Amino acid sequence: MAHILIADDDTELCQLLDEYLTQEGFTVTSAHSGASAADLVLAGEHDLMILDVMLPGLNGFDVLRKVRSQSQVPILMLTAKGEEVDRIVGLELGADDYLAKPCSPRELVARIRTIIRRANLAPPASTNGQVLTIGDVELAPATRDVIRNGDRIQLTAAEFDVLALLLGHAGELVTREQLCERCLGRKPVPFDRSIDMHVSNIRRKLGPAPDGGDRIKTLRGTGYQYVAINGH
Amino acid sequence: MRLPLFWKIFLSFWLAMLLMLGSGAFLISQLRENVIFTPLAMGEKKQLKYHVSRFESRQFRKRHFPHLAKAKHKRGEDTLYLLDNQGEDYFGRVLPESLSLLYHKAKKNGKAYRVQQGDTLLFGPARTRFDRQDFLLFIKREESPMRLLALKILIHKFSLLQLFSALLISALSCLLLAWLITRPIRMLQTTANRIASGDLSVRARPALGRRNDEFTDLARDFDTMADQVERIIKSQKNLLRDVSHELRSPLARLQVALGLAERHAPDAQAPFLSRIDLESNRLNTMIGQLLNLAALERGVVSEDRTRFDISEMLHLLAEDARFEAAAKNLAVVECVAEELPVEGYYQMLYSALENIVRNALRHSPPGSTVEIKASRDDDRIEILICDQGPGVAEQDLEKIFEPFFRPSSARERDTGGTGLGLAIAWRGIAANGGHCRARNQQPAGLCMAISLPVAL
Repeated sequence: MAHILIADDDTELCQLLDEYLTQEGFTVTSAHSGASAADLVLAGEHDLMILDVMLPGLNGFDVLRKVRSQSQVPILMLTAKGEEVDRIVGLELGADDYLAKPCSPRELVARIRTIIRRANLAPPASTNGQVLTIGDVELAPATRDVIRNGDRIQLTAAEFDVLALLLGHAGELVTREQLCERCLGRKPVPFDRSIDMHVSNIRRKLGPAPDGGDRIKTLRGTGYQYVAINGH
Repeated sequence: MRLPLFWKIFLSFWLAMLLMLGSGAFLISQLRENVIFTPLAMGEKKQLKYHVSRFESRQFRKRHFPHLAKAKHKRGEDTLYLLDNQGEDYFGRVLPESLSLLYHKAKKNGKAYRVQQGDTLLFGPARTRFDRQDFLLFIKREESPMRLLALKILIHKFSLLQLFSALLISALSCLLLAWLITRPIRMLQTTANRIASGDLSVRARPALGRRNDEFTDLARDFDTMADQVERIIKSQKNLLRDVSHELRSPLARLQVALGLAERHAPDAQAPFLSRIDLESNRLNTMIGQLLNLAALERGVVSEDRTRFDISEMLHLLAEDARFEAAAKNLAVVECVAEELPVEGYYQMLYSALENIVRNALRHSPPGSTVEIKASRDDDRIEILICDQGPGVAEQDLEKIFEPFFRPSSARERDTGGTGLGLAIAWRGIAANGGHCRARNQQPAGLCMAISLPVAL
């Protein structure tokens, strides 16, 4: 049974969510301030954190930064609708996905399930459990490790899945729909830039290719392609 | 034509100063009692020579007078005086006082002079022989008063250098004056512009320094106004943020409670619960857009300017539009040129264009086409987003960019828009240095023409 931490200063909402999620079979803990949320989740007893951006004291971004420096626990951000910049900052800081608040609890549960399933599912389906090596990048699905030139690269679960899918199809086009469905576990919503943000995080973390070029090419409006260096 | 205040003040002051100088010179020449002797002008020397040659070449007799004593001249009427050694007139006329003065001065210095008194000019002498005697010839000229006397006096009385320096000095002093008057106005203007562009902390009074006059009063009043505006805007900003948070919290709780209710409700209630869901989503969208619009109107930007290719943004938009359009069986046609570099706020521009595309999708009848076109025209990027919907009445074409504007055809209400999308789009595009216009196209439909500057 998955253990979920809700970090939100709205105690009444926490109670309602607690009831809803408990009925869905989750165990729920609530934290009403940023500091206590960060401490609780870093204790390592939770499978997922639902993190509201608007928190007293440490705000959601501060918590995200603090947690990501020590842990890759799945995090679902709750952002205010219309605040696209919040989403982008959240995804950049390593949130796995976001949901606009207020959201329907059905949608919330669906997202929680996808993220937890993905995190628990050690080898992503696209790799058949084999260690993938493309150029200087090595991806081990079993341990969810990514190694570039001997350095371990810290990726979030979502970023790992996106990279795994791209590497698994190196030299081929992977559409944004495929990435969204296979990595975020949902149909792409129009005007949603999550995949693009994850890809841009991966680019930043991996740095340029050994020949100085792009590792991942953007194919105008359709999707992405990992540039196959050693002729995969 | 727009003439800046600086030049208005300068020109009017200078003109006034020149008029004063001219009329002053005229009055002085009219009123001056003491007689001033100046050297002869070229024309006057010629005139004297001419008359001398007349006297000497022909054998005039005494009986030829009084014809001889008078002569017509283009500037007026000349009277000739022939004075002997004793200063007596050959014709025995009584001499004007200034002529006696001129006679004595000329005799003493052995030079010719001119004397101007009002309309009367006296000049001479020239030696001549007439009737077997030596005489000194003087000419008295009565000038016609209709001429531009003041100007003539100026030219006669002052040398060109003096005239030029008078013009220069008066021009410089007027420039200084105009600058002194307009400088505080410009300072106020700079301050007002900075406040208008969002910097609410600037004040006008300190910039004016130690002066203390009507301008500093104005600056103080202006600063009071700026204080007031700053306070209001700050409280409005806080209010909006609070409203957003406070309104959304109950909405969030409402949604979860609704989720719980749906689980336990009998099937008969399901349509009503889903209606509650729909309306609460609408309310939420509206709150978001209202905040978005408020931020744009205040000029608050939460992202950095970047350089990007807007053709890629349009591809993404078109792709998303196709996804949404499938449900209504709409076609989305793209005709976008490659490489359209823009420098600006990516997210702001994205949501502006998104709002326009969504608007087009919403008003498209099923089975029709939405067109997205973009091309580069010199230093502008022209984007066209057109639908085949009912369009908008001509008189409403500009008003559709106002918040909550409802066209008479009420196209918004039927289609579930918030009435804010185009207002957000218009402001977002303006904040990126572009502009957006709506026009109807034939046979039906609305076209949004967006123009943005090309990044250098």
